Amino acid sequence: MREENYWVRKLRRQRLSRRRFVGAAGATGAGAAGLFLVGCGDDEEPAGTPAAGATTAAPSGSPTAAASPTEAGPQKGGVARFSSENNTWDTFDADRSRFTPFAALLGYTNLGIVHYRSFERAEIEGALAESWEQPSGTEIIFKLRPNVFWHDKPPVNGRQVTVEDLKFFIERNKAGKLLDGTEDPNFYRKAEYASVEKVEVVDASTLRVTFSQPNPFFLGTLAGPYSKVQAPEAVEAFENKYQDLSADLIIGTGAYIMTQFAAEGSVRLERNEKFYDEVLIDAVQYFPLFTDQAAQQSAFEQKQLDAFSPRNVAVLNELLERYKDQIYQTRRFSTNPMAGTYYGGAPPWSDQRLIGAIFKVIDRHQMVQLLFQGAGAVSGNVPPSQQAFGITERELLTFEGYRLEKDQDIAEAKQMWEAANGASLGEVVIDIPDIWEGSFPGIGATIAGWLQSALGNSFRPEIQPYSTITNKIIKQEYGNGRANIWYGWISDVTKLEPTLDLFSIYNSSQPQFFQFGVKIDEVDKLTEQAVQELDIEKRKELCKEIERLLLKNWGAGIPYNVIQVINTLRWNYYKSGEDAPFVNSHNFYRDSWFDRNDPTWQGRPA
Amino acid sequence: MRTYVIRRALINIPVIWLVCTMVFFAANVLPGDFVAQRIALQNPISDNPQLQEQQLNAIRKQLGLDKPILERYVLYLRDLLRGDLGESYETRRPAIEGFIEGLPYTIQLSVMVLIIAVITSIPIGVISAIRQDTIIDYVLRVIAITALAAPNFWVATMLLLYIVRYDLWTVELTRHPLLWEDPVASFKLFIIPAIAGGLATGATVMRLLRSTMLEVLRQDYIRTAWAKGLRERVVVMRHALKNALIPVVTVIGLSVATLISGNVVFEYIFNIPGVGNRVLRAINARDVPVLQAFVLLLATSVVFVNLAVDLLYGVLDPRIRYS
Repeated sequence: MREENYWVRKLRRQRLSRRRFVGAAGATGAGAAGLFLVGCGDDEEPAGTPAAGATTAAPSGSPTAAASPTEAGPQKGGVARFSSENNTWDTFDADRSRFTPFAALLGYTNLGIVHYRSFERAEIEGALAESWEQPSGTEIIFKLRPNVFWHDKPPVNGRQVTVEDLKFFIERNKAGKLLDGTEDPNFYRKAEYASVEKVEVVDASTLRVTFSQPNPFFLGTLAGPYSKVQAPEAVEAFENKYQDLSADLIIGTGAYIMTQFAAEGSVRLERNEKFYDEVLIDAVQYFPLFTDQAAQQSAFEQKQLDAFSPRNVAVLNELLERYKDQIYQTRRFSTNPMAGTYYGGAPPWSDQRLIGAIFKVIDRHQMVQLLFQGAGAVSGNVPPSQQAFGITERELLTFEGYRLEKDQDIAEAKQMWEAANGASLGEVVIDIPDIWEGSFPGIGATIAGWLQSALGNSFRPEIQPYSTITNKIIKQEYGNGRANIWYGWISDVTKLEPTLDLFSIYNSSQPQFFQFGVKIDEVDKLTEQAVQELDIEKRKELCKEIERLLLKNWGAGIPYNVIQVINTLRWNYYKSGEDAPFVNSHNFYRDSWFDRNDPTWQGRPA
Repeated sequence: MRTYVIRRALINIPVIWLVCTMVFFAANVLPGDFVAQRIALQNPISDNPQLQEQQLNAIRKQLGLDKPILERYVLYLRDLLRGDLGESYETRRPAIEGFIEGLPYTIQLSVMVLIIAVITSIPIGVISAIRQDTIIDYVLRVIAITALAAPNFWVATMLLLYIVRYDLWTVELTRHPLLWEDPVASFKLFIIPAIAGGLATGATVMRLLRSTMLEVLRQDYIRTAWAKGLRERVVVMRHALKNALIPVVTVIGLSVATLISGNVVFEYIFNIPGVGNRVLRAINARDVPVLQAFVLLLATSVVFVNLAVDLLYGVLDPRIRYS
């Protein structure tokens, strides 16, 4: 399964340069999607770099200082201190949540049946299941890990985990119903369990799951960030209280026990002494809402925080220079690519020349500079965070709209626009999400300026809340008789493999497709083929082919633009595992530790 | 006096009601309610458009957002009369709890800002007035104008970065202790925004005090005091300053009221969990109950601080009587 990743190699080779047009990028699987990272805007901490006792390959970052484990090996103890900019919560019911910050907390507190040991190597390992086997394409047998106990909180009170707990978890997600039998649309992952036919307890340590048809994605589903098992009696007691968001409601089997929680972002997690494996760090403390980067930087410099992700490349470089040999840097892709959407099933955007012209004018390379000072990358319909399944950057740069010779793109765009009588559209409105504009002031005017100067029409940016934009997408109101489009952050990339998403978004038989309406017969065929393909290598090739087709069709409803690279700085005393653009906090207990022999440990406040 | 206070308090009730009503409708007609905003932020592109509306409606029902706006308004007023300020959509806790938790931070910061403002502005304003058009006056005025012109958030940020850069002291940015919890650490943190805010507020007060002092110093009774052979200190402090303070007290009084809400920028920069920071968060999250509760309480504090200022005039100037 090991994937020698293009982006990993690239990041190892190069440091980000302000001058570089196409920014470097993080590793495919690199880095924890930090605790409090939500839909838009990014992220902060957890896990990060120099492999601490991990057996993995070198992480994605390019440490600027010695960051390898000491000879003495990982040490136990210490309280890790992080902060973040975003704390948004929907519910503390793992099966009904879709907010990444909660998924990141679950990584600390709850085990799933399996989870990713390494995103970089796409390596899944057992969690509550010690092992598993797949006798056939329609059957998986899990062996329960012995001596795993629930956290000692009522009503579960630290009892041992049973196979029935795992069965309950799968069946609840498949049913998508509350205990009183009510259907609840908030079981967001119900569709992923649809092919589960039967869940049987074979004996006290064995669970058999049978599928109605081969399901190559089920292990990936179980390794997902929300696929964490909750005790049946806890669900029974708390099903109607999970929205109260209190620490008592989180009863897991994970390495850390949540002892404090405030929705503002104050979280305390203490080591679970009965965890089946060794947990290195005593506790994890999250501080609420560091909205200002200067304050966060100050707290990091005074070692009140163990990690810091500067947004400004100048600040990053200055800190690297000033704390040379004391801090190290890691990089990973953001979870949120920047793109837009349009409805291509009706005029005006059903005319490929019109939407193609807009697609070609957008200067993605300049966007990387303007938005991230070079710390980003252009993105196709399979973002670089899922690079094993997408085309390489080199190939991407050969596609129209992505070429470095922008003049050629613009000249061709003009011809296409004129040929399709684009002038008759009159004013074109570009919706810009308010928080996107807030994060990158002037971006709306910049995009409108590019389009206006190249195509001649009036392009007017309009700042809108995300909810308005989402509503318009659902109602097919980008295009479909209107001369408008939007750009901003699109949904989180939460999976290592894009196959299912490509199917549900671009296959014309799927409900999600109708938001975009660009029917491409070949894409229909390939996406159907991909979701039935059991061989992962073949799926990778199919996904690449699908991406090529989507790019040739101007994104097929979702014109991707760029993706940010998150640079994280850590003091040398703080050792951590691989940095991934997916939730990785479940690996924190094993990969992260404090080297108290490191000179930088001095002066860290107790 | 008593009648005056009661009358003023009664007048304040419609003011507060008006503020509540405006905030309720303004917050509720903002595009994108709390639920839609939340879902959209996390997943702008719906996984399943047909299900999305069901999901939104389920959450709206849970939060009572499915009711017509007028019905919600009536329920809001009813709860208000019962002393119930509602429950935060975000934290699911009573909205007033956040205000109560944030208030000590905001009050401490406001008091420190005010102290810095007063101890810098009054001596400088007085010296500048009594040494009018001397080099001291020019220097002090330049300082005041500089303090006024420099954006206080920039000053605060620079101070913070400078202190950290040169490791002058540890600024407790993660713990935020209050003075009664850890006086030294608290002082080291709060003094930075207090200086930035205090200098800006103080500069306004200083300029006002200088001009009123100059006006008072030209009055006949001051000339009489000089003619009596009184010492400069007595003339200035006892006869001039006391009378010059009346408009200054008005400005300081108004500053107290606005400081409570105006410290939002410092709370934001220093991550201080005060009222302002929480209001900002509530606005971003469309957490209407919290916003309503905070605005109501802030408006109430502003009108009553104004009343207190009016009453203070009588203390400073015995000629002022309330009836």
